[in-house]
Amino acid sequence: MAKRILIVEDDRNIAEYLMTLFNDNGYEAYIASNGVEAFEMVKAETPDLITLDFEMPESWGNMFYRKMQKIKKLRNIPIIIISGVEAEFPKLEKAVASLRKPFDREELLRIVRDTIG
Amino acid sequence: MDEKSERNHLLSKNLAPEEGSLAEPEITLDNRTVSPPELFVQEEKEIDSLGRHSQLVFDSISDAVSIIDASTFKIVDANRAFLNQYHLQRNDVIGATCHLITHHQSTPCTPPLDPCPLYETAKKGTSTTVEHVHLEWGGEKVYVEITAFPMFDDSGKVASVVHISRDITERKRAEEERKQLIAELETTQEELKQLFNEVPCYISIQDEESRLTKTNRKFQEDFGEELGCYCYEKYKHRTTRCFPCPVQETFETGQSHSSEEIFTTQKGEQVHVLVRTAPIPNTKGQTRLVMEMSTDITEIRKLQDRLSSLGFMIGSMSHGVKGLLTGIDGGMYFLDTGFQKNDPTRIKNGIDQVKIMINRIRKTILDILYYSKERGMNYAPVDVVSFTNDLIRTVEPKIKDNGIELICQYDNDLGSFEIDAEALRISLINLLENAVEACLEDKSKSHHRISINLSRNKDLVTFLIEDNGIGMDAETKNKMFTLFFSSKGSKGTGLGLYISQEIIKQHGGTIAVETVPGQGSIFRVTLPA
Repeated sequence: MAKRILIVEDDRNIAEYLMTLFNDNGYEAYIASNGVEAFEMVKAETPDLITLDFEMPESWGNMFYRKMQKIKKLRNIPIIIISGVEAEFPKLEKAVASLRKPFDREELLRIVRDTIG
Repeated sequence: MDEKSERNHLLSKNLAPEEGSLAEPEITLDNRTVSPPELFVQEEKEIDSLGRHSQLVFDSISDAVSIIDASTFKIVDANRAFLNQYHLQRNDVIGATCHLITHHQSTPCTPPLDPCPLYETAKKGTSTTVEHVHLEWGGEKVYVEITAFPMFDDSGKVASVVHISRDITERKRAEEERKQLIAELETTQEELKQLFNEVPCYISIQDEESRLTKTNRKFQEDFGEELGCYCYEKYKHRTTRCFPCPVQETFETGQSHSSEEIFTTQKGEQVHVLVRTAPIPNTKGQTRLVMEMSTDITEIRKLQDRLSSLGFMIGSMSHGVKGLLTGIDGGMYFLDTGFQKNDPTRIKNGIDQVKIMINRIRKTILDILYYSKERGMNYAPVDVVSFTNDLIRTVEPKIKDNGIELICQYDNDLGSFEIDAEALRISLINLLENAVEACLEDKSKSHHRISINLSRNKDLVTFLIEDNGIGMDAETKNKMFTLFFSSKGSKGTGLGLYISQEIIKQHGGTIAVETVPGQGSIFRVTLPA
């Protein structure tokens, strides 16, 4: 069974790019374009990995992450952060990795492979 | 008349017998009768005593005194001081001419250099005072002040002159020195004044009440020449003192203080200055005056503002640019894998994506270049309709190529308006491109259109640009013209709209937007004619 990746990204072009990339590489990817939508989808069906577009000062990325940590079933899902902002992310212990935009797709695939196979 | 003859004169007055009488007269002296011989001896004694007394007085005068015959200019008598001054004996002096002894000249002194006081006094019959340069025996110069007094004979003629010569060499020297010091002082004062006035800073000297006691030229040029008024009235246009005031602080602490202020000139211009104060202690060491020196840093601040807003803009834009670059990566990925998999749909998607992203990047770069240059506006009267026709010709291809319908509505003659045509073109093109983007983003409708409506009401020209694209939510609408607008993802930077607004504002116009998410937006631009 293919591993499921949830892409949380509000820019449609980038989201579709990620989805195609993951699908091409044997994963099953689907898109949520904001935190609320993402939360619903995560509760409905647990993904194996989440890529999270984390932009400050937008707060929904942060909120989504914190909400995830509160739920036992969800707090252990590995998260890869993809962001255009230079800031540090000190409190995101569950982040497996943090990539800057524009990201290197080979590196992203490698991290995904290392995390979920 | 000299001493001897005077003595004889006195004698003869007292003892001259009356004409024809041989009898001895009766004479009383101190209440007793005395004989003429006794009287003679007594009076001789008195005259002697008088003479000795006079001689004593004559010789104790420290000024050099000589008695000079008014007609021959020969020295008839001289006191000790005179003899000492010229290091001469009585024999050398008596009978010699005054000018020989004092000037080593065989002829009398003449004006203008050494006017002869004897001559003047003899002529006028009153005293004369002159300054001469005499020569001592060795030839050394002595500066003297000579006062000559007339001595009259019985007929009232000036028979001799009392020549009193006072050594004023010291006084002269002191005067010379004083003149030189004054000249030096004046030169220094001139230099100081010049320095004070040429310094390219505002300088003012203030007292404890913040009144201006002295100001330099640059200060006067920008704030006026009035003194005695309060500093804060002059360059802050205030009625009370500022707080904190670096000048006041200097009065309190006796130290230099600085601050940054904004002054307003007589013409109403704002000047950014860096103020530095210095205490001016008086001779007792007390600080009753403070100097305030202010350097104009307006240009630097403008540059700084510009740099920081440029930096800020670039910072906020880099974010958007990263989204664009990710978008290009995506397009390239679709292209590459599309070819690999032989998937025409994917290839087409890739190419479309890449085109759009590259266009956006291109626009971003051009916007940055435009923004980074400071440009003034060149206003000129332009025909409204011609301008608009030009504008539409420029944007029409792009709009049509994207499958969007373009509708234009305006009269044939709307007069002219005063604009910078190039800048306004850029401004409106930005808005139109924004409309195109909005249509492309919107996937909910099959048919998109953009309409341009132009109207004029007296002196206001209004452009309406309407699209039925994706519209904006409230947050986007509020932020869209600001540099705070952090555009995410691959939409670009939002700098174009900022530039549009700036240009319209500089023209004295306004820009407003109405929008409904999912339905479209209307931009209303009004410009004064």
